[in-house]
Amino acid sequence: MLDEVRLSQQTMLVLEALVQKPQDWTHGYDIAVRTGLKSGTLYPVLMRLSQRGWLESRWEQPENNGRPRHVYRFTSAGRKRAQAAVAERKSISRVAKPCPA
Amino acid sequence: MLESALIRLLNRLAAHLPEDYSMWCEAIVAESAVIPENIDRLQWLWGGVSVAIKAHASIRIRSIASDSDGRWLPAEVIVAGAYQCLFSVVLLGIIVFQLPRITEPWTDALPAVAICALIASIPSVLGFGLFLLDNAARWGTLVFSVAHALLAWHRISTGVTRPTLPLIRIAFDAFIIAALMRTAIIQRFTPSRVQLKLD
Repeated sequence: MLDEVRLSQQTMLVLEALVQKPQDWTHGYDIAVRTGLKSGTLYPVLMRLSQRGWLESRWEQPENNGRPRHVYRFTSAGRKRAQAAVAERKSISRVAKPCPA
Repeated sequence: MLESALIRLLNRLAAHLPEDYSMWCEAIVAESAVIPENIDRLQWLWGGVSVAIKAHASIRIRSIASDSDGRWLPAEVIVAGAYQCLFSVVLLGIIVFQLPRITEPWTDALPAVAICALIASIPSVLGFGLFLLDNAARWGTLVFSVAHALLAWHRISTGVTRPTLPLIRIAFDAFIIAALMRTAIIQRFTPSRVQLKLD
């Protein structure tokens, strides 16, 4: 059971970035590059999504024995909700687009 | 140098956070290692510091504004407690601003100033008591609000002061009295009875 998340513009950017490869684990910096969000905005969104069961996270040990990095991906329930939210957003923006004169 | 200072600061802030928050600060620090540009790395770490500070602030606010079971305090109690604390701050401010006007020797003035400061801090003690859902503080606040409203009314009726500000204070005191006498609020201030089982 997922808790509701307020789908702010920043949250939608994160969902849209992750929904492109919903099965893959993604690093925080990669999400920041894709969304253009700063860490101070991105991480509270990731925290909220994770706390409410949309995302799962784990530490990933890099192959070159570097520092472990935190990676994220959707839970199965989170993936469905995110795909629905992104699809809904796209349909709304399609409807809201002005018709050519 | 600035980078290592930010990492140290972030680690220090994270060390005082619960694990479910500190993990995110560690993630931000770990992620900074892969950012190629120095300035971007500093911005990233600074963002992390802001996340940690906000987490500290939200935990602090939640600890003040919630009871021991983690339930939020009623809004009226938060408003009444904050008003009492503000009242003390104003009174203490007035005392501080009066200090340069004291002409008596400090040995004579100090006990009187200390007593005034002690009296001025009573509302804030009541306010903190309200945040802790202490029933004595609720009664103290009720008595204080009634006394304060009566005093303000007396000042208006004798023409000592213009009525606007005292009337606002009376309205606020009436709000506090009405709020703290509500059944739902009284129940929050009443500790649940401990059930003793004697085997």
